[in-house]
Order: sequence, then structure tokens, then C-alpha cells
Amino acid sequence: MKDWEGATARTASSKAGALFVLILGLLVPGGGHIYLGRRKKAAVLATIIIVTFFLGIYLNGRLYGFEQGQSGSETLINYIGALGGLGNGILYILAKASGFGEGNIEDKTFELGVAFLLSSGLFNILAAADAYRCSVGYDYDAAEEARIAEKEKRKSEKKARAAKRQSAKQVSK
Amino acid sequence: MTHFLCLVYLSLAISIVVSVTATNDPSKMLRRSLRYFCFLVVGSIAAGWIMLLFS
Repeated sequence: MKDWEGATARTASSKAGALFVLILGLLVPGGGHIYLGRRKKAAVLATIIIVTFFLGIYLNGRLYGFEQGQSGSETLINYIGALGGLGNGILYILAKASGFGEGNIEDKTFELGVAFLLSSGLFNILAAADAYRCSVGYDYDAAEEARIAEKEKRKSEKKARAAKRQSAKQVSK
Repeated sequence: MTHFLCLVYLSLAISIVVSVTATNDPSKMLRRSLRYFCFLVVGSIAAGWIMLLFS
């Protein structure tokens, strides 16, 4: 397998180290990958997450907080939005602390802004999960091969079942 | 136009993030991100067109 990072990539030495990578990745976009020496991956992911986040702020999106709404459904939406926003880690905390991300619901780009902010949060969660996988020495190629083999096995089983049904039908006729 | 540009940007961002986190092989990343990008853009346009037909 050709590794993008070459010799700089490494794995965490213990389970606690892998957990540290996960938390670092959640707090800082691309932080987990930088810690593991995967600088190219970190640069790509951090750029996309940060650009998406700032586009969300620019488009007047709202960073939801854990606030009580006027109804139960509004509270639920606030909480789900806050969980998505929290995925941005330090960006969420900094934007909230400096008064950004209040959003203007009357603005026509409000919905787009919210979509961008939530997307960047989810991207960061995905990036942190990948950093954790890299830290425990996850083998991407082996996993893909296993997935393909499983798929082919299911396909052949389905074919065998169909053939069995067909032969049973012919016997009954 | 804003919505279309946002669609293209988000599709690009999703395809890159998903393909970069799915493998460590750069050629696989490129192939996957191109495939996901095309799929997302064409799929979104088709879905929008179908929704427009039924609205």
C-alpha cells in the first residue's frame, strides 16, 4: 500500500494515547492527524473544516447553544444543532465567546449558513474519528478487502437461494 | 446562483473529506473524491428537479 505521509506517520503507543488523539482531533481541526505526523491529511481536513465554518458565519448562519426553546420541538432542534456545532471544537467556543454565529433568520442565506456550520462540525467529527483509527493502526486496505469479500459472499448466497427457489418451482410444476 | 455555488462547494467538501478519511492511498483518494463529487452534484440536481416536478 502506498501511504500518503510516508515515514512521518506513526501510531499511538497506548489506548490512552489513542483517546488523547481523538479528543485533540475533536478540539482542534486536524489536530489529531498533526499529532500522528500525518501533516498532509491534517492540512487538507483543517482547511476544509475552517473554510466551511467561516463561510457558515459569513452566510449569517446560527451556532446553536443548549438553550430552552418556547416549545419542546424548538428545544430539541436547539440541542441537536448545539451537538452538531460542538463538533467544531475550539472554533465553536471561540465564535460563541466573541459573539459570532448569532445568525439572522430573516436573511435569505440563513439556512445555508446553518448547513455550512453543521457540516463543518460533522466533518471535524469524521476527521477526529479517522485520527483515532490511524492512531490504533487501522489497516484501510485489509478492511476494504474484507468488505468486498463479504459483499461477494452475500451476492453468491443470494444467487444460490434464487437458484434453489427456481429448482423448487420446477419440481412442483 | 448562491444556492448552486453552495451545492457545488458542499459536494466538493463532502467528497474530499469522505475520501481523505477513507484511505491513506493518494491515488485512491483522488479517484474516490472525483466519483463522490460527480455523484453528489448529479444526484442533487436530479433530486431538485424531481422535487420541482412534484411541487
